[in-house]
Order: sequence, then structure tokens, then C-alpha cells
Amino acid sequence: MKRTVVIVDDSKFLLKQISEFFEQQLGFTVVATGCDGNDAIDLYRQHKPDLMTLDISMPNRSGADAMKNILSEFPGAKILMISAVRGNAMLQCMCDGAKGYIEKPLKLGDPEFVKDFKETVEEIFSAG
Amino acid sequence: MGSFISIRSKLISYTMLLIGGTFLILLSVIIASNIISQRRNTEKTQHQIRDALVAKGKLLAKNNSLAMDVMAQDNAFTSIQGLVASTVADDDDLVYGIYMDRDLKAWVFADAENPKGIPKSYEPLSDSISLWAGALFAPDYKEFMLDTIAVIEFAAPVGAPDEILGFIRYGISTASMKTMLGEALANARASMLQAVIIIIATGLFSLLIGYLVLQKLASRITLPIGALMESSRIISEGNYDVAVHPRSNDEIGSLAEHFETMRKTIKRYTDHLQILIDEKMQQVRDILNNIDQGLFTVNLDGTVNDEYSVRANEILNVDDVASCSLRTLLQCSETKEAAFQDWFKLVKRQYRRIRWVKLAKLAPVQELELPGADGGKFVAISYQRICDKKGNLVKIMVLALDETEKRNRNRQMAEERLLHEQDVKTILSVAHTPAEELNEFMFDTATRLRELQAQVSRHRIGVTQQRERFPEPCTYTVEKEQIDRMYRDLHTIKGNSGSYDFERLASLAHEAESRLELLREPVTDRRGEVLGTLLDVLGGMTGALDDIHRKIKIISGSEDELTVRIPEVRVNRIIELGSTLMTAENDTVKTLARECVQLSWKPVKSLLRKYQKLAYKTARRMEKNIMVIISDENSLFPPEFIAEHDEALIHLVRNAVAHGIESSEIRDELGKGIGRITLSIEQRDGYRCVVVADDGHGFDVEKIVAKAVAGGVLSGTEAQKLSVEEKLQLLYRGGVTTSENLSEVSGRGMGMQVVYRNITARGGNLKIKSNLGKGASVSVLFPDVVSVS
Repeated sequence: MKRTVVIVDDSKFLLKQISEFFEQQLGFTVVATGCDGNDAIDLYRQHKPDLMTLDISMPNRSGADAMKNILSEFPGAKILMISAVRGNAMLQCMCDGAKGYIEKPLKLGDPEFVKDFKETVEEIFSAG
Repeated sequence: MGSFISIRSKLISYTMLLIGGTFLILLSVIIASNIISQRRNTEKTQHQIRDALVAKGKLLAKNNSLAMDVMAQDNAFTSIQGLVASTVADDDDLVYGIYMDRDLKAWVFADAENPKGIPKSYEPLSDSISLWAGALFAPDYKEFMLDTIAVIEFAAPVGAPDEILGFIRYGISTASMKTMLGEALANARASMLQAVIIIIATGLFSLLIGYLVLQKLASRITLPIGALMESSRIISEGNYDVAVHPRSNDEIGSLAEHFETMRKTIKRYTDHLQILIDEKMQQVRDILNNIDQGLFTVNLDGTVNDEYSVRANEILNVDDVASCSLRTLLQCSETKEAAFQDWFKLVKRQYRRIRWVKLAKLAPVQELELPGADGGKFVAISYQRICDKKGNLVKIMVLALDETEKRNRNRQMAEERLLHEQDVKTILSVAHTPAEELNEFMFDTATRLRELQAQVSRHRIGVTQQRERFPEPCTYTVEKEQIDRMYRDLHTIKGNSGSYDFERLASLAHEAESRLELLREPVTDRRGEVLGTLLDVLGGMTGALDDIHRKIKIISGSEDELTVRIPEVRVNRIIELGSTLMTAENDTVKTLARECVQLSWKPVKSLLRKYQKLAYKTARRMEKNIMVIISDENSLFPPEFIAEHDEALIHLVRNAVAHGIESSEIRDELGKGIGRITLSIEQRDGYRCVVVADDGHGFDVEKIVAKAVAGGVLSGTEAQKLSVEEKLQLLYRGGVTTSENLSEVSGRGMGMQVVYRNITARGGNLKIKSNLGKGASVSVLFPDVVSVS
């Protein structure tokens, strides 16, 4: 059975790009997409996907905050941060329980970047 | 290994056991054979004695029988008695001697108690032996027990066989035979005992000798083994220096030889290995000392270890890395330090699960800017993990690489590249722009620049004078209007040169603008400095302008070939004269009059080219794909009205590109293709208008109304009464902006309201048409002062 993923990003264009990447390159089923932190929490409750990707800076509720909420409710949730926010914010997300991170911009034409993306997702699942 | 038993003890004990066992077997065999032969000998002796006894008895009985035959016939009982009694008395073995007649009446009965042989009674004998003897017809013997003594009775009939007179009987005791037998048996026993003693003695002696010999022998065998064992123990402790000497010429000796060869090989190898390790360590030390990277290690609690490369001190500007804290070394703020602690925790928890490259990237410090010998220096910081043999993370190696040179080189290269790029753009732009237009630009810019330089110089002198008069405090103010005027000039130069792709000039103008802004700030002593640097920048702009001028000369050859310079005064005079002819009837005169008036007019393409370029440039920056069409490009119009509304037009064009045209992705989705922007100048009744039209998504009228209502510009009921056109007018009448995110492009200019205000202030008007999803057009209307139609 295909792994499921819920993608949350405030850019519609990126939602499309990330979804395509997960479906075509990683063989996931994108079960839903959302565009802010509140969406993220609702969608996680609703779908309980194998993986959720979160942007950090989003309207209404930040991705970091949404992640903490989700993890307190579902401690086993696998969350991948995809954000242009670097440095401490990303480190804090990782410390707070994100399973991996990808830095924007999404250079999906760059084989190195794609390799790293795939390995990051693999890592999340290989760790069980 | 169990308890240790030496080979020597084993050899001795086994051999002793073997000897002892052999003797035991020998002993038992000898004893057994002795017992068997003794028994056989005893039986034989017994038979022999018995046979001798029997022979003796038989002979005695027979002889007596013969001798007594006559005596009996003669009834010489006394003789018989004498014979029997003397026979019994003479022979110790004879227990008794009896002569009895046919009626078994004893005539003679001699024994130990009755040596004379006179019978105690004459009654016939009735015991079983007497009955047996009385029945004999020939000599015979019979064994029987007399009291406790085994006695063999020898009896023989006396007389002729057909006329038996009596019977002579002798009883011979077997006691002597028993005694002899016992003696023989004792002899045999004694000899066996002797043999056994000899064997045991021999055995013990052999054991003793064997033990002594074996001890010597075993020692000779096991001593080399012991030596070999000792050598191997020493080697196993890692000491390969003690030689192994072969002490015997047997297998052990050869083993020792092989062992020695092996020791030498290992020693050679380990010596070589030690040399190799020493060499490598030296290399590592050399690398650490010569490596261009500063290198030190930190533990997972953030403490710095002793090991570090000498270069680290130099790179990180410290005397001894090991005595500094991570915080000092990496110039951490408190937040950064806390982040480092978080990072260490994360690393400890996740280093087996997440690739190191990803973890290293999360480290709070990735680069440092430190004070260096000449100016600042850039230090790139990277992290490597150090694991033990089991793969456990033990510490982290921090690498600091001085990248100042690299960065400077890169920056220099980038600068050069930019310069070349700017040169190429300038050349291309010069090549593609009509000479006439370029000359105008050059003239305009040079004039403004000269004026600016003059003003700034004046102020600078003013500052110096002021300072001489009032040394402390020096207060020199540049009038706000003056600053505004200079700012406008600079802004025009910036805008114009930008639209011609003269980037160097544009960027210098931008820099001058920023410096000019400093003049607005409250007065400080540094004002003179600001003016000085502003002058420098203006000088740079003059240089850039000269450079453009040189390029124009190269590309266009000589300016004179293309354009004729006519003093403005003369042109104005001709125009003036021409306009007076406008009322003439004659067509030729009328045409001449129009030509005269239009002498200073320019074709639309030249008037609007600047905005076309601006649109392309904006689109490039926003990564939008557009084409800009100038319609009716050869019609002539007076340039003044365009110049007057330059800022408004810049704003409208940028707006059209930034907010009208959708992003490429959206246009692709909508199937709208490349964005089109149409620029045109139209002549209408009493009006000229510049139209900026685009085929983007148009204005969302309802959104504008909603925003206006939300902004309190008007009430909901008022809004409902408005026509579409009036609703669009809200865009520039009240605080409404539909743009949700300010960008570099649109955020800089004036809002629509400012555009509107500027245009109406000059007697113009603004007209917006919009078709949601299909496009919008904004027309700037100017009253046509001089009608020439």
C-alpha cells in the first residue's frame, strides 16, 4: 500500500510542486493539502497520514506551533519541515520532534537537492 | 584451561604406571603358575609317597603271608606272634599288625599298646575291616579311618589259595606321608614366597630406577618446552625482543626454530608498523600544524578539548583554543549558546538516524565575521563527527576555514563580471537607441549632474565656513526644498539611466540618493563628510556618464553626422512664428505652420521607449514573461506632457506588470500565454491621453468596494449606489490597495492616490477600465493646450 502524506504550505504553487514530487518521485498518495497551521492540525486528525510536511511561516498559526500541537496529540506523528526559515527556528523544530527538514527554495531540478529530499524521507521511515 | 599438569609429571606418572602395571601382571602370572605347579607337584608327591607306602605294605603283607604259611602249617603261633610283633615294633609307620584265622579269631594283635602281640580277646573280630580282610583270597589293601588317623590296611591270606589258614593284616599310618607332603608343600610355598619377594623387589627397584631415569629424561624433553612456553608468554605480552633458542635437536627444537623465525617476522613487522604509525602520527601533526583550517574538538556537553591545530588560534583570534570556551571561540550570543546546547542534545539523540550533513547544517554557527589584519575576515565553520570503534558518537570536530581571500576573490570577480555586464548592456542599449534620443538623455543628465555638483560643492563650502565661524557646535542646515529638488534630479537620472540599462549610472544615482537622505537627518558634525562622499559619488556618476558618452561615440561614429544641434532659443522662435501662421488659409502655409510647431515633437516610439524598457525590466525582475507593444509608434507628439507625468507613468507601467499581469504559472494554467502590455498615446477631442493597458486579471471591483467599506471610506449602502466606474475610482480616492504583498517593484513608488493627485494638479485626469480576468487599462488624460488638428 502506498504511503500517505498531507502537505501544508501557504503557497498554492508550492503545494502543487511538493504534491507532484511526492506522488511522482516518492510514490506517495497525497491525501490532502492545507495552507495554514490550523489546517495542518485538522487535516492530521482527519487523515492521520504516514507523513505530514509543514512550512514554518504560515498565516493564522505557524508550522512550528501546529507541529507541537499535533505531536502532543499524536506522539508518533512523522513531520517533515519544508521551509525557507533557517537557523534557530529550524533547529527548534527538530528539537521539538520534527523528523526531518528540507530547506527552501525547492530546487527540484537539481539532482543533488532531489537526492537529499528522497534520503530525508527515507530516513524518516527507516527509523521506524 | 583446567588445572595445569606439566608434561614432565604426566610422562613420569604414565611411565611409572606402565612399569608398575607390568610388574603386577608379571607377579600375578608367576604366582598363578606357581600355585598351579605346586598343586601338581603336591599331588605327584602324594601319589609317589602313597605308591611307596602301598608297595611297602604289599610287599610286607606278601612276604609275611609266605613266611607265615609254613609257620601256620606248623602251628608255630609263637613265631608268628614274634614276627608280627617285631615287624610292628620295627616300623614306626605300622600302627598295628594282626594275624587272624579263618574264623576271624585274632592270634596276634600287635600295636603300640600291645607290643608283644598277645591279643586281648580271642573272640572273632567283627569290625568292617576284619570282615573285608577275612573275605580276601589275594593280598589287597584298603584305606580307612582309625580313630583320627588315616590308615591303609594291607591284608593277605596265608596258606594255599584253596586252603586258607588265616590272614595277616598290617595297618600302615599315612601320618608320615602327610608329614612328608606338608614338608614338600612348605618347601614349595617358601620357594614361591621367595620368588614373589624377588619379583616385588625387582619391581620396586625397577620403579625406582625408572623414576630416576625418567626424571632426568623427562626433564631433558620438557625443559625446551618450558623454555618455549616462557618465550611464548613473553611474546604474548607484546615483547618481541627476547629470542627463542632451540635447546634440543628433536621436534621441539625444530618447533623452537620455527617459533624464533616467527618471532623475528613479527618483530620486523611490528617494528615496521611502529615506524609507520610514528610516520603517520608525524604526518597528522604536520597536517594539524600546517593545515589551513583551524581545527578543534568539542565534547557533547560543549566543552573544548585539548587537541587543536595551531592554525585554529590564528583563525579564531585567540592565544590558546583549548583554554577558551566554545562560546568565546564562536562568538556566541546567549541565544546562540542556548541553541548550541539544543543542537548538542539533538545530535546526541539523532546522530544514528539523521545524516550528519543535515545535522551539521543545523548547528547554530556556520560562519563568523572576525576582525582581521586588513578589515574583517570571514571564517566558515563546519562540523564533523568523531565516533569510537563501536560507532558511538564521542565528540565533534569543529573546522574553521578562513575564507576571506576566497570571498574577496569572488567579490572581485563578481564586481568585474558586473562591470562587464553593465558595459555590454550599455553598448547594446546605445546601439538600439536612436541617436537623437541618446543625445537628449546625455544632455539632460549632464545638465542635472552639473547642477547637482555645483549645489553640493556650494553647501560643502558653506559647511566649512560655518565651522570656521562657529567651531562648536557646527550647525549647518540644507533646506528641505533644496534636498527635495536634488532628490528629484537624482531620481530622474536614476530612472532614465535605468530605463536605458545604464546600470552603473543608475546604481550610483541610487547611492547618491541614499547619501542625500542623510542630509535630512538632524545636524551633526559629520555633515561635511556626507557632502564630501556625495560629491565623490557624483564624480563617479560623471565618470559613468563619460563612459557612456565614449561608447556612443564609438558606436555612432561622430554625433555630428546624425544630429544637428540647434539652440533651443532658435527652435522656440521658429515654433512661435509657425504658430502665428496657423490661422492662414493657404494649405502650404498651414502645413508649414504645423511642421514648425511639430519641430520639437517626437515620435511615440521614442517618447514611450523608456516605459517599454521599464516594463521589460520589471517583468524580468518578477520572472514574468511579457511583450510590450507601442501602438502607432510613428505619430508625433510634444514631449513635454510626457515628461511632466513621468513619475505617474512609471508607476502605472510598474503596476501593470507587477499587479496586472499574473505570474507565469497562473497564466499557463489559464491558457493566457505571454502577458501583453500596450502603450499608446491617443489624441481625442480636446485631450491627449497616454494609455497603459494590460491583459492581466483586471481590478476586482467588489474587493475594492469591500476594502473601501472596511477602511471607512464610505458606507455599505453608499457603495451599493455606485456605478462600476465610480467603484473603480475608489482605487485612487480613498485608502484602498488591492495588492496583498508589497514587493520591491511596487512598494517604492507612489500609490494610485498620489498618481491621481499629481495628475489632477496639472489639470489632467485618470480613467480606469477593467474587465475582471481579462485585463485593465489606465488612461492619463491631458487637456490639449495647443490644438493642432
